[in-house]
Amino acid sequence: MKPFIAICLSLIAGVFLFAQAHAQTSPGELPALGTPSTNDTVILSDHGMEAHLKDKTYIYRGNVRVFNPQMTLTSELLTIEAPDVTEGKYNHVVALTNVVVHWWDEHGTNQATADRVDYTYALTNLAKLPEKHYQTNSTIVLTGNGHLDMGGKKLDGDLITWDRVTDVVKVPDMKRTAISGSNVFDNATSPKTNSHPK
Amino acid sequence: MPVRARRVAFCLAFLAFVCVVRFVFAADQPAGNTAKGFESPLEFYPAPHERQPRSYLEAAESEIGQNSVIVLHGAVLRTFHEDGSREMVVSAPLCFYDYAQRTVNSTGALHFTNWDEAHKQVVQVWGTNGFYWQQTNSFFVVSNQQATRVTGASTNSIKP
Repeated sequence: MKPFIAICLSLIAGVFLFAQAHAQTSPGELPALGTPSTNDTVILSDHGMEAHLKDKTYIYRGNVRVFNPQMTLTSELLTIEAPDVTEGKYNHVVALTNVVVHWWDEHGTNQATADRVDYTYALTNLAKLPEKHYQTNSTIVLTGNGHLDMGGKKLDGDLITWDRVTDVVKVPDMKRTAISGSNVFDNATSPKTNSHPK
Repeated sequence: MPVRARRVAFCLAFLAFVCVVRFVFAADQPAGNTAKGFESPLEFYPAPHERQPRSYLEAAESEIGQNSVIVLHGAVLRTFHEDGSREMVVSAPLCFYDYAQRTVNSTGALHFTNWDEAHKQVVQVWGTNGFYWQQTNSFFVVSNQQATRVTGASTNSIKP
């Protein structure tokens, strides 16, 4: 009886080692990054990512989700350009197809939706070196079925431009606007330029 | 049971154990011409930085595959800037280096890290469905589902 038990124990030990060896080599899983609690930004996508390292351009495809402590974004395609520039800084982010952006500020929760959203940030030295006189440009452009809802002020248009430096929103072809949810203007009566109410 | 029979039974049990363990570890070993400790610079910068590798590939184990492909187990691919500072690191349990096409690819798990020293940011990417890296133009693709974490303070302040 004892040899039989010894053989059984040997087999069990072998099976255990086999299982352990395969557990160690099993393919990795995506970490549950979730919503970042720090200043980190998390980007998830279902159809991969392209990194053009020379140009410092990243392209995300398929059910793209961006999480940041200040904002969230969903779209079907997201391109991030952050090229090296000799002086200053340049960032350009393009989100395409079913773009939905949420962000939080003193107005509370804000929302922007559009077919395409462009975010451009440029820090340019206007003076000749060694002098430095920087100019900052920071704009968000909503193109195609644009909708902006900032603290109860709603704007609709096929082109909405928000200058983040001057905090001015321009809607050349405004379809509809509603301020505090009470006054609704249609395209015929609406002004061509809107300054974002402070 | 006599002592001799016990000894024979013990030897049989031990042999069974050895056979099972050998089968287990043989199953994980790659077949073919395997070698340990693969390390190779893939490309150098032109003069005057001709001693500075642009990309470097290493692996715990390598195996000669077909059509100019080397199968790498426990691979780490590193790229560097011209000044020698790190650019990116990709690690994968299994990947394929095509020395004719100058590409590295995999179909499994990967971890990618890219350092942007100028903007003090680190980009980390985790994937489960493989990657493709093209040496000639520093083009890197992660297949299917991926998770990216960008670490570092945002410097897009409106006032410089």
